[in-house]
Amino acid sequence: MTYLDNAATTFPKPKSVVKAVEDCLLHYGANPGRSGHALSMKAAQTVYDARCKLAEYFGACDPERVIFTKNCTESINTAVKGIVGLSDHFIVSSLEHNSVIRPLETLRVAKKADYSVAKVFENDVKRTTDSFQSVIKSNTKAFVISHASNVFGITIPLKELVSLAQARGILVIVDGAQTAGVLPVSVDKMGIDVFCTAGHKGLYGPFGTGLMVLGKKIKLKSTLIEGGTGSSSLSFLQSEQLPDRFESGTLNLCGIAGLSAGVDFLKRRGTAELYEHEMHLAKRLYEGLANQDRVRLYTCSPGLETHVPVVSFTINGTENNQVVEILSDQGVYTRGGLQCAPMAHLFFDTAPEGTVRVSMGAFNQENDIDRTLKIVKNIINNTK
Amino acid sequence: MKLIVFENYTLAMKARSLIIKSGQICELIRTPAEHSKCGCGYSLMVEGNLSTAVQVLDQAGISYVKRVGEDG
Repeated sequence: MTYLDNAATTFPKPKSVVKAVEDCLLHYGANPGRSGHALSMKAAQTVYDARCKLAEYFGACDPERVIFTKNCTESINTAVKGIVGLSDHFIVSSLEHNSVIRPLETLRVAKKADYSVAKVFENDVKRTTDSFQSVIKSNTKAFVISHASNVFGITIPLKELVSLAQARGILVIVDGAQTAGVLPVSVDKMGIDVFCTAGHKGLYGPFGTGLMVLGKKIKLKSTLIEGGTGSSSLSFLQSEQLPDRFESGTLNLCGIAGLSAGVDFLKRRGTAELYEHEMHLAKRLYEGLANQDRVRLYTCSPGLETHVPVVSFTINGTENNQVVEILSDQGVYTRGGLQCAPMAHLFFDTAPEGTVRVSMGAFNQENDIDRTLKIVKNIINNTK
Repeated sequence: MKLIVFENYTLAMKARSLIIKSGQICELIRTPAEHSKCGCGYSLMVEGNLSTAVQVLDQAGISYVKRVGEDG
């Protein structure tokens, strides 16, 4: 098996992550922060330790600013709907995933807020920041931007965009689904207001885990959901205290235990070392594809810091679904179609068919790439 | 009993880490009913000097609901 769909979710998970989940389910899976008995306290300690670990990993000095969610989409929705006021304006990039576009489009259709799209120019920081600047309005509340494209692997110039936003009193909400555990992120040092991510992608945690890391100064006015928090229970109102305010209901304790083990895995292997390894594979794939007839690539060759290990391609005259199916029949797993990012495909003129997306992970090796290239070559030869 | 009462366990645990680091002993417990105005919550039972422990929290900007008991 050659799994190359890590942008969707990383697979396999490290054995330590599996063990952490199993350990929780078998030995201490009580409801954290709800009782005073020993198991509940151990569960609460596990959650707190994970919170501290993730706060350190993402450069937030207070663990209570790490909010556990069920996925990146929930984090982004919580952030956007937490700050939106009537007639606010938002700016997104031309590479956004539906987890950014759909909440904003829903607000637009309801005439509650509006948004503009700023173009991203690969490897051109100035043109990209100028593009963002050109669509800023007096009522622009926030940039809501993907740190890296889940389709084309291109990163946005986050440092420069944060500087631009800060100079204009605009907030920055980052969709870090493709960069958490891949590129270094420090919420406090980088001045990010909200960093949203999934736990089950580059952080190697289980499904059902996500994070919203809040910057020091941001106050989210509204909550997405309200409910039991195990605190201030006499009150009919949602707690104002972090993290409880945004964590209603029972936490995914086993998921959080696994996510904590995922971060330990990254620290053991080295985030930077893993990134370099995966980018080496991305480049190998890109260059192999570039040499093949009828293959179309859409970006420059992937480079460190300018890309994450995601490569999209199409084969002229062969449907993406057919390519994915043939690859899958031979044990190579990729993703075809729009990858829930129609905006990115519209920008690259690959809609409505989309692309075949290959995304590398920690457990991929060169032979995975070489095998994929061989199959693609056969597809090309057999589908002339 | 010398207690520092917190609204949630995250703050109680953060406080516990700091107080232990400062050299004092404390134990995380469920807030006793008589001290829990808002229902539910966690407290630190402080073995050492309560005022010193509270000072550590004040300096770190950690909020608490109240302190209970006095130093002997």
